[in-house]
Amino acid sequence: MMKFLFMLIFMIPMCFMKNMFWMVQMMLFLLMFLFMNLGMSLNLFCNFSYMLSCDIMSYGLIMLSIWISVLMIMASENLYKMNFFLNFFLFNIIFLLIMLYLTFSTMNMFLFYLFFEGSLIPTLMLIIGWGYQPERIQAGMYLLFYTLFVSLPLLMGIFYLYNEMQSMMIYFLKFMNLNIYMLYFSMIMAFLVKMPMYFVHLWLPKAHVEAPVSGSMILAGIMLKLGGYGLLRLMIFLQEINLKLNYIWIVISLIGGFYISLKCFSQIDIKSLIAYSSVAHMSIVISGIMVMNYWGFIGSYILMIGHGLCSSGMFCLANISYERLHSRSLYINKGMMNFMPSMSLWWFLLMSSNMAAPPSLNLMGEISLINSLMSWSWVSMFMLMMISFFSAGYSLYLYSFVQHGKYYSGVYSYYTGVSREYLMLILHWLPLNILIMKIDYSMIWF
Amino acid sequence: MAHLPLLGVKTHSQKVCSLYKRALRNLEAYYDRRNVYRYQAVLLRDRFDKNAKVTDMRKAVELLKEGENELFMLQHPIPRNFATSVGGVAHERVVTPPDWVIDYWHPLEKAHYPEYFKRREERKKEFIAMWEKEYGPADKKDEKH
Amino acid sequence: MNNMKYSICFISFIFLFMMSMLNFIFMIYFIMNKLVILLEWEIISFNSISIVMSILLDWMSLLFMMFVFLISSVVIYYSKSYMSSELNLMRFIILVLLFVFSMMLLIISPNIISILLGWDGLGLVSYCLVIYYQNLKSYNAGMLTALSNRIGDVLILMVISWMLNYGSWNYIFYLEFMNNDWQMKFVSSMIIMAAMTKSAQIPFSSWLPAAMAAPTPVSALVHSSTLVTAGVYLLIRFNMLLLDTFFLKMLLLLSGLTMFMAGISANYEFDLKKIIALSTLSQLGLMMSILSMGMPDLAFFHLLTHAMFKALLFMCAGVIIHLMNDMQDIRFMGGISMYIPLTTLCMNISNMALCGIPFLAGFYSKDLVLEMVNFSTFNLSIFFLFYLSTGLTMFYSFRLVMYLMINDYNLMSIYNLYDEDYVMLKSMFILLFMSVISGSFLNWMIFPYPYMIYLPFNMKMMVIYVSLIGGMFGYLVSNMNIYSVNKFIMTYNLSNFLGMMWFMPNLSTYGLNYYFLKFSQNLVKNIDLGWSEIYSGFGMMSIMKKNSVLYNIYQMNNFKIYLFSFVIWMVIILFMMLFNI
Repeated sequence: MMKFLFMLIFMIPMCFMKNMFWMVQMMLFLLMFLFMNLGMSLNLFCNFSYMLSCDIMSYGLIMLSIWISVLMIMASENLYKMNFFLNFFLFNIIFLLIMLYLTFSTMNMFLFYLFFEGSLIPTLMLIIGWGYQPERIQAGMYLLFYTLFVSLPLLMGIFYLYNEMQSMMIYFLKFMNLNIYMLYFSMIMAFLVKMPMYFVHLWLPKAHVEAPVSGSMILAGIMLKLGGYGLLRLMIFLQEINLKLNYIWIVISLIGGFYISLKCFSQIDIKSLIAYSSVAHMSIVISGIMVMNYWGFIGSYILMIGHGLCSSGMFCLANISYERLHSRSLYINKGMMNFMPSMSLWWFLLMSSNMAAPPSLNLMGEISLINSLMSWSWVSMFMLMMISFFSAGYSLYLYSFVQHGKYYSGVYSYYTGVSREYLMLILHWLPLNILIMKIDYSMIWF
Repeated sequence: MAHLPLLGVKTHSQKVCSLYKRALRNLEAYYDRRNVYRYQAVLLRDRFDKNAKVTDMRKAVELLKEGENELFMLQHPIPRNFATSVGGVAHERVVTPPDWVIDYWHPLEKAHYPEYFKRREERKKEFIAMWEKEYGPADKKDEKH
Repeated sequence: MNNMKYSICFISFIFLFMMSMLNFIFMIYFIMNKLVILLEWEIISFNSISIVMSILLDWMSLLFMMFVFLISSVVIYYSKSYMSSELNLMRFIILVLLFVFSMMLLIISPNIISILLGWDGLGLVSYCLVIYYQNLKSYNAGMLTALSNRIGDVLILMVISWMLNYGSWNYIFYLEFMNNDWQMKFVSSMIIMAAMTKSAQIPFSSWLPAAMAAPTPVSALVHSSTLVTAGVYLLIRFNMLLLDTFFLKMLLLLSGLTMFMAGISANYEFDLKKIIALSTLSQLGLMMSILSMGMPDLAFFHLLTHAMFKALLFMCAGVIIHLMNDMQDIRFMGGISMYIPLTTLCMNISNMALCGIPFLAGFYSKDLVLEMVNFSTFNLSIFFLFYLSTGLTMFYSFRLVMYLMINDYNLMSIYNLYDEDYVMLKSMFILLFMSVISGSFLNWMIFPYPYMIYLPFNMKMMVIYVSLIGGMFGYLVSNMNIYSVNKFIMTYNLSNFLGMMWFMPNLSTYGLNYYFLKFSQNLVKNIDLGWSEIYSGFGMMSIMKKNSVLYNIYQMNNFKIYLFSFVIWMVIILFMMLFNI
């Protein structure tokens, strides 16, 4: 595990050299390839070195974060063209990736907390540094303070846990069972805000709207999954109390997911629509984790991976439109099919993956989550039906509004898609739909 | 396009003519046999002609209002539209992208039609030459737009 | 590209036609030897549950696939001419091929998870095909279609979770076993609902006429013979489950009403394609209702013969629309039998097959269905629904024939009607052949023994009676103007009700989305921009601001005030400690 960390660290000087933009990307691809060939056992922590290790759960998420970072660099070619603080941008991405890598692979709970919070900083930098409008400062503040407000209790909880178990090893959490209300709330609230749960989701659309494409991709792709990862890890010593209190989160998430899906219909900004749709998906993930059965855990894990790839791809698409029309408004992004017929295919494929069409990972995840929630209570069927139905509604709304019909009459110049963009979208879509062939890597992990 | 409001203010006679035309179209929707339709159209014409000589504007406006009301009450639930006009099935069915889109094609895409693009470049040059001949060379500072 | 001899249309035609023949041969082999082949690919197995991708090949799936391939091959060949001026012909053909592919996946998979691959695929690809044209009508129709079908998808997802308890989703093995389980009540109700959305039965039937905004070859393939029958096919596969439940009687009533409603609405409609779509709806109702009487083989039989002549009918309509300059309103048409005799021939034969004229395709299935209805022990209302709808079929078919062929030519003074488009004609003739012979051929092929019908003479002739009465009414109505009576407000309301499919399109679009969109606006205003903001980000900020201003006031003032407030605070604490508050 150390070798990947060192590879990342030694890529930092490369960021500050000239004309290393694509080189950094290639190196990350290489890292991805190396990481893919890491020997893994199915249900144990392995590859221990210096408090770093990974099991299948973190393996998939690390892979996802490297993959998304590669695609982030690929998506921000605009910065490369304009040479807009390019070196610092690359450094930022590498730094973010190091943070994420350590968050997912560390075995120490305090370090987990440290890097969990540390990954906020480069994200904030991305939003404030490369965003578009003055409102990005406010969005950054929202991002920072929503997550910080509940993360200090998490720190206290971790200290309490250290006092109890005299160790910070995540692996040893298995042997604990603590039924303390304050501890429970302090441990999970940070992750619920990060996910985000309904009611505390306000930072997410704001941050997405203001962030550059790379920021949106990493936010939707990985940052939301940090919360899910934390919940999946920490649920193990909160089992009993969680079974007592889980209905709170499940109810909020299911109702909230339905409300959020409805809210998507009132959005006219492409990015904020996609952001709201990720909140809706994350709400089923939260409820799946909170149900605490096998189907729920694997379903939330698969849906996290699938949604990471899918929503990141959709943000890419939104940016592709934005780079051409300089607007994200649905009223201006119209009739794109007449300009970019082949891009329309990718819009459709990613939209359909977003609404959990087969054979995407999202479908597998959604099936597992529905199974888990239905085995928790069959009453949740109605809200699940609504969420699932309206996810199709807003995905198709977005697709057909952007692609179908007459184009905006104020468009006077345009350029068709370039191969970089198509490659980027293929690299989003392919793992999303191919991984289902080897689904046991995501389904059998503990 | 008859049912769309014209731009600007319509005169009274324009309004009457528009009502007449819409009423005819409505009749066409009801009576699909040409002979039956002609008979009804003549009756309609007769009703309009009877009031053609009304010079009192107040009464004329009143009549027009009544006519509009009657047309509204008797409108056909499935109006008979021409396919490519507003409300028809084939209206705006095919959106043709503007011509300049072709200029933004990828060179690889352009390579599919080499002759066309060769001629297109020639025509562009000719057009620029023609423009410059007529209006003089373009101002340098306009290029920044 | 389109003028080349080996265009994509031609290649796909050859390929699909060969596939169809192959399936035909296999079907005969399977039906002779009573073979069933089941292939399973286990994707994952854990918690004693296995998720498998399974493929079931028996005579039923092979026969259905043969018909789907045949129709799709001729439709693609047909669109070589129909879509010849289309810029994106390649996209169109690929979409149609994708549609056929997902239809195939639906047909062959007896597993409720792997059936999703075809089921969702059908919904999505048919959405793409409906919004193929760029106008607003097709946009709305596509949304209505996709969302109506999505209800079915969601219900299938729910069925998956209900069937989790049984340990496997290969439903055909377990249906008889599961039959008496109370959880199966949920499953069967949801399966029935899903099938009703796909087959456009009554609460969901508004999408089928709306989907006529698609190009005509799509209507011929998707909205007449394949996609809409997917629901029927699913229920045929599930028939063992549905034998004696309450839902089945509901289904019988709803599908009977669908049949009746569509038959009436078709008489009020003036759009050529919508009339045919409504007649498809009526036939779907027939299939569903005979299925819910417990005769799945008859439903399957009618499904297949109907697919043939309805696809042909749509293709003829396509030719007419093509020649009429995209006009679909039958009030513009008339007298075409003088100009395009061959197309008229196809149209008439398919219409007659639809009405069940003896020894054409529809006769064998429809007559059998109606006689079985006579034979069974259902009440009078069901009986009347069936026979009225049969009469109505003749009614609207005759009206259509009168409008299209007998009346005077009614379009512009300049027109160009010709019958020499051999690409279209050739493809139509293949189906013409099939819609003549497929009834008898299937009748001999798929029924191991003939149904025994034993009826009094008048009951036996009832079909003929209602057909004749219907035909007479059709003749009269096409000569009378239906809407000329609606000067009375009563009949205006009535004819609106009947002509607008019992207001179902309005109910399922404006009737629903207004409330949801209004609710969504309220949510955004009250929660996202309202309470949530006040109780978190914005509210916290304003509290902090207020407090910091307050402290600033203390600090900016006289030092004595600051100290004095400290003293007061101490006094309060002292009192609290004293009185043990």
